[in-house]
Amino acid sequence: MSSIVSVNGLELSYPIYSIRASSIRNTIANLAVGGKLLKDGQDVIHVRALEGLSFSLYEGDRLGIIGHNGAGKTTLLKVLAGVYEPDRGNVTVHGRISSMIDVGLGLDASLTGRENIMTMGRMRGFPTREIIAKIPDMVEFSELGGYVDLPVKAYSAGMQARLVFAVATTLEPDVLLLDEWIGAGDAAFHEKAANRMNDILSQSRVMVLATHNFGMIQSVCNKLLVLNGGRQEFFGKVDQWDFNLRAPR
Amino acid sequence: MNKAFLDLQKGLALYKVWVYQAYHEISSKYRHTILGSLWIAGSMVTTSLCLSLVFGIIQGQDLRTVLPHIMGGILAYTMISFILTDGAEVFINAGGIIKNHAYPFTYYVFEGVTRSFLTFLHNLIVFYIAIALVGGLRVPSWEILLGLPVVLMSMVTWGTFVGMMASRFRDLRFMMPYLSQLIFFLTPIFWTIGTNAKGWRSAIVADYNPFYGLVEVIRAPLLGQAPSAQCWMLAIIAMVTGIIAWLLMFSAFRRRIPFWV
Repeated sequence: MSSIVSVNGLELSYPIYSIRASSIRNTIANLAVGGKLLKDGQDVIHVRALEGLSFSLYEGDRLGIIGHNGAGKTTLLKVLAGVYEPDRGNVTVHGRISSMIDVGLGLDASLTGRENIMTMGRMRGFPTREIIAKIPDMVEFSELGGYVDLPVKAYSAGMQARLVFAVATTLEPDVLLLDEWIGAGDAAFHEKAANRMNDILSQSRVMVLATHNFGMIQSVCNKLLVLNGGRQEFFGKVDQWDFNLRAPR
Repeated sequence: MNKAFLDLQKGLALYKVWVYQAYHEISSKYRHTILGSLWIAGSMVTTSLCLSLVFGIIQGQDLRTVLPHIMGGILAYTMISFILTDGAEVFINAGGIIKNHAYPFTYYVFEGVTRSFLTFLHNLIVFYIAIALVGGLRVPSWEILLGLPVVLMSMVTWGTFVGMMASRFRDLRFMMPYLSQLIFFLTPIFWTIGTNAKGWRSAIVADYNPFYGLVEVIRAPLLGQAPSAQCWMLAIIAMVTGIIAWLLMFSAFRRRIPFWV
């Protein structure tokens, strides 16, 4: 069985630009003094976000990622989504990716819900006809009703989340990336979303979920990746990890 | 290098999306108006009318030649100045999307260039109405079919370059529109070089001004004339250096864009 997601020796550090480094005046001034100010790490800080990650995911795998704040969970999701390219190592994903890393971002606030669905679908490479055929299903699932023809800026945060979730899950991605499950939405929708997730998972696709909720991982995932300061502390089956002792069993 | 071309290929494949998005963004603003998207031409008409009045009526030049010249120049420059104005914002404005979705970066540039091109087409309609009204209507030269691709190519390549520079160095984002204004006044867009300017004066404003070349390869054919060899040279140099700048900048720093925006 060939892997759908394969990560090999992944390493990524990302630059953080201070206001000074983003200013062209300072940069030119720095060139004049031999770039010393920039090189001393004051202005462009390189954060080693991920180091030495290697794992593979196969059909039907549901990977949970846990780790402290800043451990690299979201960064890893973004690397899997293709937003960040690794510095070293390689990441191969076979199939269509659907990411729900930052719900709401990626929506165009001035377009209506329906137009956003079209754009998101087209951007993911679906033919127009197929998207139009699926719109009723998305509208029904997201319970947006008449709101779907209003600009997204009129939506509440929960409605935006529901729209993105409906699009991400209806368009049948091969790989679904989720950050903290879905942040918004009321309790009833949560239940519906959980059911939808189970549907999707039963169609044996790959899901990657970054969360702090251990219970969620134990009930949904079969594989676990523990990150600690950007390093891979553990990768394996969920039941091989002791969540209380924070150590492999 | 390969990844840059892969990005380009993916971006081109999304042509339906960026044409639709560009058209949508232009037209939605003018919904519920009588003239609709023709309002886009408003600023071009106003500027060129004002300048034509100054040169035509006050200075007594023939409106039939002055108006088409000025309007054609502004028409062309409005599109070309994408490089300095909208081009500087292509990546910054799409920051939210860039940080969350791995769409090809070329997509954003194509969308911006298409937007400018659609604006150009709107302006073109008004341009023809206006020059017909003053009796200066001429059949466009076939060379427009060469001029447009050269200009559009320069816009894509230099637009990417400026867009990347402006997202890394935020000052540029605000500096570029003023630079565009400066170039607008320094380039023979609404005035002609005539015979007064020689030597270094002519060199700055026309002989070595790539913007003049780019404007002329569009304006001259629209007025039924052939652009001079000098202008072709300038325009083609702008395009070729643009391609080189794109290759270097885009292949080396493309992956940094999500961190910059």
